[in-house]
Amino acid sequence: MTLLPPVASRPYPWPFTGTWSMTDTALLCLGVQQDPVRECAAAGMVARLAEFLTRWRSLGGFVLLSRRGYQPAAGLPAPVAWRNGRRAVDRILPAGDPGWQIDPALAADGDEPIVDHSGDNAFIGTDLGFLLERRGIRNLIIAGLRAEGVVHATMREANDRGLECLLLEDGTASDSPEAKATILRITRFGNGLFGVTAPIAAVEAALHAPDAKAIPR
Amino acid sequence: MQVDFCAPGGWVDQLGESIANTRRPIGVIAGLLAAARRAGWTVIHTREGHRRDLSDLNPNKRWRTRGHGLGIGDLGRCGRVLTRGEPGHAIVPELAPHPGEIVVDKPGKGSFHATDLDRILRTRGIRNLVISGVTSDCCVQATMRDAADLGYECLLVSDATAAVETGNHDGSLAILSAHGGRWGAVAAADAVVAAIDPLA
Repeated sequence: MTLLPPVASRPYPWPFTGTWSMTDTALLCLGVQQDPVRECAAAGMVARLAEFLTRWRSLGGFVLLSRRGYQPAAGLPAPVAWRNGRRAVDRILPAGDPGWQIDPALAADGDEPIVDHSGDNAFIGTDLGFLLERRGIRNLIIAGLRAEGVVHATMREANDRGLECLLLEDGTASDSPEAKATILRITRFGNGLFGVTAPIAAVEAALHAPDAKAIPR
Repeated sequence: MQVDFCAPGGWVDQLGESIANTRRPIGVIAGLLAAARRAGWTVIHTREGHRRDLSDLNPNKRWRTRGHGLGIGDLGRCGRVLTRGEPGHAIVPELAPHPGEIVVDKPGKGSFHATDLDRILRTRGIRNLVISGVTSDCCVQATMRDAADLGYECLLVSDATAAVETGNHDGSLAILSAHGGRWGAVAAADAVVAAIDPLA
């Protein structure tokens, strides 16, 4: 196992323990589905994430993808369905809808798990927490859409569960730049209310740092 | 609405932050509470805080809050910060729970995490939540988001919530109000009280 050095993140170098590794860290790629990619004009973000995922996987990194949607036969809770029907954008789509599909550039590699969630918080009603516990994951690098929706809701829950979270600043997006800026600010508030934020390049720098120490397993 | 967040001598105050923002909704919430109690609503108070042995305190939460010089579980002027049973953990006297009202103690920011809140609400057949308290960027928002995901119909009372930083509050309200109310509706306390209590 290689212990990796901290990432140059804000408001503090991540993780708080000082070191991390590919075995105790997961990359969460949340809700990067065709509809939100289009609404948030996130093609650039998708391309950056696709490159990063390729490198992450080449180092043996664990990737966990998520999709927001609902089973048509199960539906949504009444208030959620009612609001969903009134919105022109950011709609929760039925599974199988073209807009529900994960962007092909970020498709699962082989048998990588995909977590399906019907709301914004990907822990609610899913096995996400179980999957992370089973693998002994302590740190999360989080990307996806939208910053103020699925991404933030899931990061809040992860933080409450004690997971040490890093949000990729250029790996998330919104159709509202103000909303994204608010989320980044709230995340970092008070020495990291919900964790830290950093650009993808800062994580890459830590992954390839010369002082990464090889520890025999 | 705990001493540690909203009262002189509490944690936020001891950190040198202004408590002007977090105190502002106290009067508004008192009015809402009075109307809700007259109407016989279920009133639920939540308190963020940890068990006295801190067995429910995540190591990174402790580390981050200690970065301020006074962390959760440390002894301050109102007892141990955000620790159950300490003076700072209590709800401010103006909004103290009445006998028989439900109090949910929670170790996280979201009120559904590691608590029986969902079970309490389902047991009582509650479908609608009117939400107030502090802080809008943290516990309030986390609770409203998860409640909406769980199928509760939420209404956030805009002048009955606040954050330490005005920018974070304004940004949170903008997000929560966007797209026709992504996680529920937002209304001022006067509108809520008028609906609860048309003759008041």
